[in-house]
Amino acid sequence: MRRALKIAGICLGSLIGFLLLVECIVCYVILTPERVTPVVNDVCNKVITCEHEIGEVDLTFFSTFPRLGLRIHRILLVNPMEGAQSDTILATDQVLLKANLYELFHRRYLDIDALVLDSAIANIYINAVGENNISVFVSQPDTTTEEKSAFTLPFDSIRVTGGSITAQCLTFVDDKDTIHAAMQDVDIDLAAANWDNVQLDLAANDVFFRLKKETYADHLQLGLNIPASVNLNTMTFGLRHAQVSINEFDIDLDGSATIQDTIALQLTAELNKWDIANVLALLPPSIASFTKDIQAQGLLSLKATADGMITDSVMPLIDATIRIDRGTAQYAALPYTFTDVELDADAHIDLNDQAQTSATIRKVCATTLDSKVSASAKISNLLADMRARAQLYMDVNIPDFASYFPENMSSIGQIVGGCALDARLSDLTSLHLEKTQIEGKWKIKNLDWAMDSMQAQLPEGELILAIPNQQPSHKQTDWLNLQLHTSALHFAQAGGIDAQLGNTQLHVETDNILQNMPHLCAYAELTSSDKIEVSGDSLFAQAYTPAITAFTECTIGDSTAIPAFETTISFKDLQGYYTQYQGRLHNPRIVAKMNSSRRSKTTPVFSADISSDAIAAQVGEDTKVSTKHIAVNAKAIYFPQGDKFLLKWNPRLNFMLNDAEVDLPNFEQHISIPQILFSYNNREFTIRESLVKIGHSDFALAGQIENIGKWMQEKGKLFGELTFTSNHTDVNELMSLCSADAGSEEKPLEETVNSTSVNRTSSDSAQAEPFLVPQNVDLTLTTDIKEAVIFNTTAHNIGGKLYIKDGMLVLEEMGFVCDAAKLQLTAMYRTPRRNHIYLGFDYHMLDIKIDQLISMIPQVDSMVPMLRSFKGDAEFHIAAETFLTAEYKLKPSTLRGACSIFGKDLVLLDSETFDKISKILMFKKGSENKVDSISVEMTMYKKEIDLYPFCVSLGNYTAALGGRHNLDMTFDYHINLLRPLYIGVDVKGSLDDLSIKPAKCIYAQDFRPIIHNKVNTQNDELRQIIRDSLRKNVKTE
Amino acid sequence: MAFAAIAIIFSSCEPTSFNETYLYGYWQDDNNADHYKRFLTSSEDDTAVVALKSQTYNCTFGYDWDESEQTEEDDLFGTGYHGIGWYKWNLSASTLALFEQGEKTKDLPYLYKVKKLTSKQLQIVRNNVTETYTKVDRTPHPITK
Repeated sequence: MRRALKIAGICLGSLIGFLLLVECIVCYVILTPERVTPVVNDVCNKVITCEHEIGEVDLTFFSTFPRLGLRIHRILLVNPMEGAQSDTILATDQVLLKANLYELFHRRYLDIDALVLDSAIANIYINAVGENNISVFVSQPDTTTEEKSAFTLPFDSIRVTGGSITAQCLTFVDDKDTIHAAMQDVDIDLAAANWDNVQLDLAANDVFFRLKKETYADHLQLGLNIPASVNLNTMTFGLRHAQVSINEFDIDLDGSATIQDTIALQLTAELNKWDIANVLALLPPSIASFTKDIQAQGLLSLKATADGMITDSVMPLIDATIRIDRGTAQYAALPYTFTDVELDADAHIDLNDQAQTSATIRKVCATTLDSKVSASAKISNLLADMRARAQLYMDVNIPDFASYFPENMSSIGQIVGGCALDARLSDLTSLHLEKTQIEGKWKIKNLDWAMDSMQAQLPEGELILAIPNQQPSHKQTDWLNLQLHTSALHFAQAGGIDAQLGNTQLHVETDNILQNMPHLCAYAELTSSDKIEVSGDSLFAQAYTPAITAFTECTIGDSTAIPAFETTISFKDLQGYYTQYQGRLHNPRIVAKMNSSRRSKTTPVFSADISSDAIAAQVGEDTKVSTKHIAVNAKAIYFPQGDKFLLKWNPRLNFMLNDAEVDLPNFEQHISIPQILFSYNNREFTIRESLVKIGHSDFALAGQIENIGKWMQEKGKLFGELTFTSNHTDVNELMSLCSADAGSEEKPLEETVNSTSVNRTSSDSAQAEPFLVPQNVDLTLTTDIKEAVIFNTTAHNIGGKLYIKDGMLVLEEMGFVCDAAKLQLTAMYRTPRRNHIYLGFDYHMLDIKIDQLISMIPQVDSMVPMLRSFKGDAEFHIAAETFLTAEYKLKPSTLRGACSIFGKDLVLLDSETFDKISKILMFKKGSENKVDSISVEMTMYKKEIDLYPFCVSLGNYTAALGGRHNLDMTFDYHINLLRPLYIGVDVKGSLDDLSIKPAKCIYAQDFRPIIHNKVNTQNDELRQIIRDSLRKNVKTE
Repeated sequence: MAFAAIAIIFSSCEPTSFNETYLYGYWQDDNNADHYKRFLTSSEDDTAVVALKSQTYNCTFGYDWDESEQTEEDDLFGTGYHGIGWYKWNLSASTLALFEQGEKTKDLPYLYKVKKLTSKQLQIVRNNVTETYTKVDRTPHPITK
């Protein structure tokens, strides 16, 4: 066996040696360069149409073993073409072909193991009309017209499985598509053992590429390491871990592309930690222009996959993952440098349906100065109107953003927090935020803010923002919800106010204020569990546990429309002052509203509910008000055409007050109000309960006054019925408070200066201010007064009616009891002119003591001085009227009246006068001079008082008395003793100068007229008239 | 003696009737220059009848006022019309009856004896008190109610 193998080996070696020898002989003896070169030249002359040079051609065996090689020393193809970058198409020092001769000779199949070009220079050019300079080979002859003289290739097919090109310069210029490419120092190696295993390696320096005037590469280094597979049947090209290097940047590629009518692409590209700054430097100008304002550094890593078809209308889907680490960035428009920039994001790009394009940012963060921001987001519709659902977190040092502040503003502090955002970019840029959702919460620390003369400090707070407002307090404020919680807030304005808020919550809600909506709605709420203190120039206020809400809805652009406004204000305690106004309220609560009337949008309607426990208020030193409880419900409708306050504002008021004390300037008396409950509108004023004490008076006033509005407009009368109940009333005090400004028929002096008619003028005394009765008033006051002081009299149990009607003040059948008697008074008071006041009265006194009568009404003593001589019970009736001056002095010439005095069981008092008279009339005085009865009638006329003759019986004596006396206390009386003697005496003069003389009797003995004359008859008739008319007015009960 | 008797008789003879028309118009009190009286005619104002048991009087109106008391003639009109200051008057023979008016009191009679009535002078007496007046020219106040 061994020997057989030895023999076989010797035979094989001999065969190979023989073949090698034959090869050598063929190559070096038979097929020498001198023999081959002409052959090749000849072939080239027939194949190549342009100018060319072929150098020495030789065959190689040993250097290309086991393949046979064809080496051509120097090839030069020259094809001048106008516009071409060079006439030389190809120039190379050497071309070497290593081929499989066996396949060539047996199967006319040229299998080239390697094609090597050394030091090549190639210039390919296409002119503007599409003509190229490499069409220098003869085209294959038409087989139907085959010519025997035509050259035919010695092979039917060719395969190159390897090759390498070293080139000094390779250029490609296409003027038609404006492409210019060039490479220097090119080294290309191609190995294709089979189509499944193709390896392309390329290295080139100074790579240049320009397309359509855009330079995409210049002075680049290019490297390709592309293991690939090729399927020419399906035209599928596969890459396995291919790598493309541009300068220092490597791209790993994996995937495949099938190129038929369409291109099916499935390719993955990955780049790792590229230096962003260097990448930006490589960007072509058109792209670099977008980033010219950006200076960025960092490491960029990207992995992207393209999967899909490429057609005229279809593009593959692209999925990419991008990372940026250790990044810094600076944007010219921003005065910040962002450091520690990191990005970790995925993108899904669908160019066929841009709406499906999305990105997921797992994290992006950056730091600038002392502030940090980070975010994560999911972005949909990336290439169109992108929508982001993002989470943002920030730790902001406010001074870092001072460049955005106005020049006159400064601030320090920190804001830490985050927000969630769901918004479209178009909505954000156009501020159409109605579909935007934002929820954020930030902590504010050590905020110190100043602007001009204002400053604010907020040591700690929390800001919460929500758009839309998920829990609106009003359905209109459904867009913004903003809350600020702070433990302390201080705000001050130099020369203005200084406010301190402790533990405060501020809550604001609005509708979409960024849109041009016709209506604007806003709600605000301020609450504090501590206090708010505000101080300023002449101002101080302190409110404990305030709760303030305000809501407004207004129409934009319509200045006539009344905005709706509603506020509630409540405090536990509120105290403060403003200039001369001071106040303190305990548990005040105010609910106030303003809106437009239903009938007219331009008419404002106000309403308020006000309640408070203890209130103490003071204005200056003179005005003080305090109360224990007050509740007011008020409503007002504003009509500007009204000429008085109540007509302008048309208030409707329900008022309740307990335990109030009031002191007012120009109001002499102190007012105490234990309780008051009333309602008011311009139609009626109803006092349901009122207990008031004014000065020395106390009263309870209840009732109703109607037609107030029409009365103020002077279109109607003021009607009213009130009941006045009092324990003690000082009428003098009350009248001085209620006086009108002018008499009923009085005109101001300035109106009468130019008047030609005779008018009553206010030439009256300007100093006296009597009570003047208001006009157009029909008021009835029913009184029940236990005690009253009227002028200098004290009366008890006063009951009756007082009414004002037709310009008169009437006291109707006012019955009362004073010390002396039962009294009934009907009085009339009228003020046609300040200095011409009418007073008329019916005054009846029953069961009166004469001495008390005189002390009560001293004027009685003036009228009937002889009464002072009597003691006992009497009945007194007087009807009188007169005019008074403004000082309430009597105008004597206007005095009219009648008086009747009836007394019984009287005692005639001793006096010097009586002694004188009794001597003359020869009275015998008893121990007690009793008078059975006396009936006196008198009339008052001007200054005269006429005493009608009357008869008096004193024991056995009967006398008649009559005469006149004057208001100056002079008198002229005639006393006629009728029984037992018939003698007379005249008593004349005054009490200080009395003249008592005997006189002729003028009265009949039976007290019938001696002379039947008209006067005496009329006197009797008149006395009766007077008695009857006076007594009929007495109210019998 | 006879002459004395005649003198006495004649001296005690006083006129018993007077020309009523002399009363019409304004009179000023000789003792008080601020005191005026005015007697109206039946055409200037209403007429009235005052009936007492003893006699019936057909009257016209008049008024008086005292400016020293800060009363003006204008005060007698308006709400003061036919009130205090007004009277109904009747001149019958030598008796001038004035029925004083008021709001509480009406037709209070005051009977004056006329001593003298000329176109310039008026002299009346009541209760032994004599009042003399002199006729004055004044712009008549319109009778306004």
